[in-house]
Amino acid sequence: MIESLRVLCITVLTAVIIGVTFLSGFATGALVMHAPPSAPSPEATPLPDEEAQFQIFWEAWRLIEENFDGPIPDVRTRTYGAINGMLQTLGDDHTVLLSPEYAAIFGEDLSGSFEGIGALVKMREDGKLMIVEPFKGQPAERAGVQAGDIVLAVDGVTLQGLNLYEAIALIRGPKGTVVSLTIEREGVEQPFDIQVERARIEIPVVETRMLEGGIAYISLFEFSEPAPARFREALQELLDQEPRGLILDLRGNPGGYLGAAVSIGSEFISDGLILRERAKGGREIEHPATGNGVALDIPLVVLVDGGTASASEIVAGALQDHGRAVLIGEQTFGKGTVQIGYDLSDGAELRITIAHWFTPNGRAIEKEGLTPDIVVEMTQEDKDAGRDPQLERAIEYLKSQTSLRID
Amino acid sequence: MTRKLFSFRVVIFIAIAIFVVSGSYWMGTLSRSTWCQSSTKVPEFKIFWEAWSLVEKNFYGELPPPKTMTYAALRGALSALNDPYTTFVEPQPRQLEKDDLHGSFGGIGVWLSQAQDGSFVLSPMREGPAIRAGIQDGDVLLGVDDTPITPEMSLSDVQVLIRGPLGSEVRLTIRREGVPEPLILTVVREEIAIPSVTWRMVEDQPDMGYIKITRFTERTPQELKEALADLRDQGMVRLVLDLRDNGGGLLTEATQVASQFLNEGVVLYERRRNAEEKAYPVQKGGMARDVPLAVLINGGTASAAEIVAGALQDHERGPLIGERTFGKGSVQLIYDLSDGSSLHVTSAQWFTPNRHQINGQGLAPDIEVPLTDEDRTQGRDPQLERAIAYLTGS
Repeated sequence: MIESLRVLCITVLTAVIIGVTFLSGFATGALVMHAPPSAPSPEATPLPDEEAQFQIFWEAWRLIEENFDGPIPDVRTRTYGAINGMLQTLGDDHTVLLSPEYAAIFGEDLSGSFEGIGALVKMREDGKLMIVEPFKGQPAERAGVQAGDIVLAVDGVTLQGLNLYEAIALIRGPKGTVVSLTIEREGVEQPFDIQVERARIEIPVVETRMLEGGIAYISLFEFSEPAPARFREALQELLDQEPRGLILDLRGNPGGYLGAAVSIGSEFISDGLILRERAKGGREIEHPATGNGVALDIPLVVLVDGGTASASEIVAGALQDHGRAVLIGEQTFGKGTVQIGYDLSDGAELRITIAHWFTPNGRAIEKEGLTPDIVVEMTQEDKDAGRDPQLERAIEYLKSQTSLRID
Repeated sequence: MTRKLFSFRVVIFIAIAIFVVSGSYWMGTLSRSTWCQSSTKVPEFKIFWEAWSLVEKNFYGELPPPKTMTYAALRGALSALNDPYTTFVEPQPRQLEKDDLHGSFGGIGVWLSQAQDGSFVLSPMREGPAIRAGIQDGDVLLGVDDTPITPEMSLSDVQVLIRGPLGSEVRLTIRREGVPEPLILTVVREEIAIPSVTWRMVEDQPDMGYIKITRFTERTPQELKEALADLRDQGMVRLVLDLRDNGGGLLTEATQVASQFLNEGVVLYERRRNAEEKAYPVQKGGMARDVPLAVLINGGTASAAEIVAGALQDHERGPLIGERTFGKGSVQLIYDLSDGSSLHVTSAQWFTPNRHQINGQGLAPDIEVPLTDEDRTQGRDPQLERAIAYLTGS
């Protein structure tokens, strides 16, 4: 049953897309599954001894309501606070509560598309929502939204005091409807409104190109729901051009669904395991390759770095253990646990760590990560100069390998 | 949880006395709620139990005991208030805190500190049962009664073991350098007073006294009176009052301390939610109402100490010299919960007689004198020097 669940990888987030979010906006790290719809609904009432144990909580709560000098947050906020406090005792950063806003946006993003305006946004430290990048050809850009714009209000509702997800929830909406953004722009004295008609936005998942010397390049951004199909399609197009080698770029890929990792790993491995999962109580679940891969022989390099996490590490780890690919780049993130996401009755999602996973050879990933076969660092200087020494090394490697073959 | 308690300290003590000063946060009134009504049913709270049962059923790792989860849930709910001073204190530290505020307890008179390697090192006070029983500076504590002491323990864990009822015995197992076998010493617990006031005449200033108040306990007003009487006997006509690194304490006692230096008027105003402003008047009969004063303050001067400094400043009793104070002017009520833990609830704000808000702002010194790290390492005290210069008119 677990095999049928969708697992995904996430992390802390750094940037998100408006009405458009990206998994890549989430920092690196959790492999999450959704609870099966058939799962029994959780017991919502405490056992009598738990209730007794919890008495002290209500004593304190009542004292706060009677005596606290200051605004008392609503019950929901305090309840979430209580849940977060309880979760902290578990000592596991990946067992977390997602508020309904966050859970909705996150779920939508992993579905691969959403209805919104098509822009990457982030919450600045001063609490203002900034457009990082309007997507090319999407509604936001067409309506004149620019990178660096600050969104002050949405349909006249101020964003002040809202978090990123609450703000995004306001901007997203059914396609065909119009949203009014109040924009503050540098160099323009007064804030002004821009009307944007929402559309269905496909979140980009893969990027491909042919490099010099007949080497194909495919970059995967996240392991979302449509990722396996789109990856297969893009990969097939590249293979049709008969490249002599292939570079799979998993740098900065924070992961996604476990099932997507198994599918994508199976493109390169004919048989054997993609990963092993160890659940509560030591029960082991094996995830074998699906056996219908399309790129089983082509010389392969996988690019990895510190942002390569979770589902990405599953794929990279499997390819490394099977001797199928050479890993080039930097030590990976080290996210070796699996979370399952349970929907709570108010729309929030509780993500609980239910298992650890291991590579086919039984290597533990948690906190360790994968060490590349060829370590190549990327310095800030490289980034500023637009250089990519990791990619260069991969091309060099594949050229030497394939020329040997040709000889 | 000890860490939580300690995190409110403004001052960090390197060696923590066994009767540790448990925090420089403030308490307004000690009040008690001995019992509470049965659990209020809050429908929205159902989510919590959903989450709880899902974690119990599915979490991969070990679960902490239910009590730990309950306390953590309470802390989590309190954090939603966004007030660092509204806190929950678990039963053990709560007892220590009560002892500290009471100003005395059944102890053995020893300073306890934890070394880098986690071992607990003893240092007896000049007087008290520990030194009489033969405990020496540098003795390492291996066990208390039948409990072995391990590096994982916290200072308060060990304190709780050593403290106990007056007149009872405690057996300490110690390791002493140069002695091959561990030593076992039995010590009878006595009432150990925690001095909060120290005083002396200033060197080379035959008519200038110096009083340092480290915190406001139940005994502080009496100690201050002793100090003033003693200094007066030694010819004191001017005084430096040092409130630096005084993290606060009890309000009533702070009011009494301020009253020693004031003729009349108000020491502070307190504003509670849904209540009228309450004035705390100066209490008559102060011993040093006319003595020229200079008051030393710094970033560690907090809460009740800011009340005293603020009152002296507004009444123009003398300049505040040093650095801006901490800015802790909210009042916590302490409620004891039914399992021995307690809840500190921010219930009011304090204002100086001129209605200057202390919270979040602190008091600005009349004469700003920083104390640099270099001063500290070289043992210089330019703030005290400035106070002396002010009082001598130079």
